[in-house]
Amino acid sequence: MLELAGVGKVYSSINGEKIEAVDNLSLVIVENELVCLVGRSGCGKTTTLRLIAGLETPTRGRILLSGKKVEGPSAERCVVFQRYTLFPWRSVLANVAFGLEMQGVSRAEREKTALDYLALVGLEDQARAYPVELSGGMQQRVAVARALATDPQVLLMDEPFGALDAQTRAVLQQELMRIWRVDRKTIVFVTHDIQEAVLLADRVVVMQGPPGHIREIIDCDLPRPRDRNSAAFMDMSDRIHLLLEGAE
Amino acid sequence: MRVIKRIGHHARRFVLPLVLAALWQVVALWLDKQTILPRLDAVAAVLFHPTAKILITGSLLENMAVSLLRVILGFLLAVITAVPLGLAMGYFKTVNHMMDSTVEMLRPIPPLAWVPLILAWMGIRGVPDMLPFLAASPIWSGIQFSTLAIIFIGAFFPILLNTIQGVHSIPREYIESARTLGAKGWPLLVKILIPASLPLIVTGLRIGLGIGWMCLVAAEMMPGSSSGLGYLIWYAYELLRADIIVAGMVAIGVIGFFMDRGFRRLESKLFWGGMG
Repeated sequence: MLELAGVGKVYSSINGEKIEAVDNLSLVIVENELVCLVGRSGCGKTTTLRLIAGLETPTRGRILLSGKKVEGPSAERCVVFQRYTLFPWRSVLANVAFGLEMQGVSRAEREKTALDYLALVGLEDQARAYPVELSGGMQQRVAVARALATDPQVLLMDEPFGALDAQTRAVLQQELMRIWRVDRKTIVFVTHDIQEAVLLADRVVVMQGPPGHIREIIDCDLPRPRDRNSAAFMDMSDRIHLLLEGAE
Repeated sequence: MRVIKRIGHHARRFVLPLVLAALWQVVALWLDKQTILPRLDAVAAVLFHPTAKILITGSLLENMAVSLLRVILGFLLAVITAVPLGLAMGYFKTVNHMMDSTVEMLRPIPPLAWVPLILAWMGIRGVPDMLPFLAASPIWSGIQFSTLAIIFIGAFFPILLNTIQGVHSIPREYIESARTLGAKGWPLLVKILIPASLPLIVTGLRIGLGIGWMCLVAAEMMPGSSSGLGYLIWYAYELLRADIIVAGMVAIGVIGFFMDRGFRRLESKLFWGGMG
């Protein structure tokens, strides 16, 4: 269970100016749940994800993972970013094995595990390739495999498909759903794409700001696999859309 | 047809040097003053007998070897100091804050301006003064600390600045991904920071080596120097042997060219520079 209790983040610039990025945010995410944070840019959703990752320290409140306070980044809370995700000087296999290498797992063992996860995302035949040789969509799939390979408690995704074209994005959303069924992680997924959120999430957290706070949490209980063209899907998208417009 | 086209393409590079050489030779023959403008055949005679003893110094090859050793030693000293400092200044804002103004003040001082002070500090002491077993070696006996210091200063700043720039150019995502995969401390430095900034570090090495090489003549002009291409050029000047001067200049140019080529090769292999 991931728990955010009264979390606030204030950045102070060099000239003493204070910027409130997140204000009094409380949220409980249960195990194996896929939660999407949606909101327009600058609403504090990425800051919230970075706070959970431990890449930022909250100035107020606390974040607990399985009852333990989050302090600094760790392989328990792995992040998949939108761009520059893979290390270009390492082969695909060495990228996926990186987390295990940091844990001191032996070479043979970590490469075997890495191959398993590459197979999970359908790229085992690209193991020896280098990231530049892969398309953007393939790179993001490798990034997902790399994040899963260390078996994190929570997978954090910061608009991971945001830089991809519409077709590739749709394919990867389906892929993520397939992978999530096989390797069911707690996922916090940041996006500004309402349809993406409705397609993926168990719950959609609609954020507004700055300073970032929760406008509403919507239970997204549509049956899976979800159909973008169904009336229920469009109703839910419209509802979130209205909430975001009202947030102006 | 394509073969002819390719030969033509490469031939274009040689047109200008050949025209200049011909012009040189014509003027030299017309002027007929070897001390001012040596004939090219005289220069070539020096260059094509690299193992022959020149004046009372060693052969051209020996002088090249001494010069190369000096530059490589001075360059290596610069690498082992500038790269770690650059990594620290690039990564830690506080280190950068502490060092930045000092570096920026020292950087514009030409290596040549350091010569008097360095001579006052180091005199003509050489490596064999510290490591006596090298005194018998004809090459090592000629390596003075002052020479190395001048080359070091020349090579240091380009390496430092490019390393800092290299760290700054790393996309934040590389470091943050690595940290959320459990990397920190030494592994983060060795597995992420260094490889990610390597393309620019290598550019710094190339420029640093080039500038170190250019400082060579100045460094070998200093008292106590009795070998090397720079020394050869000055010694030949005193004897008004322009053919040897030009041969020495050509040797410096050719070696500099190939060192630069080697590093450019390496740079182009580090293809990830700036790519995601």
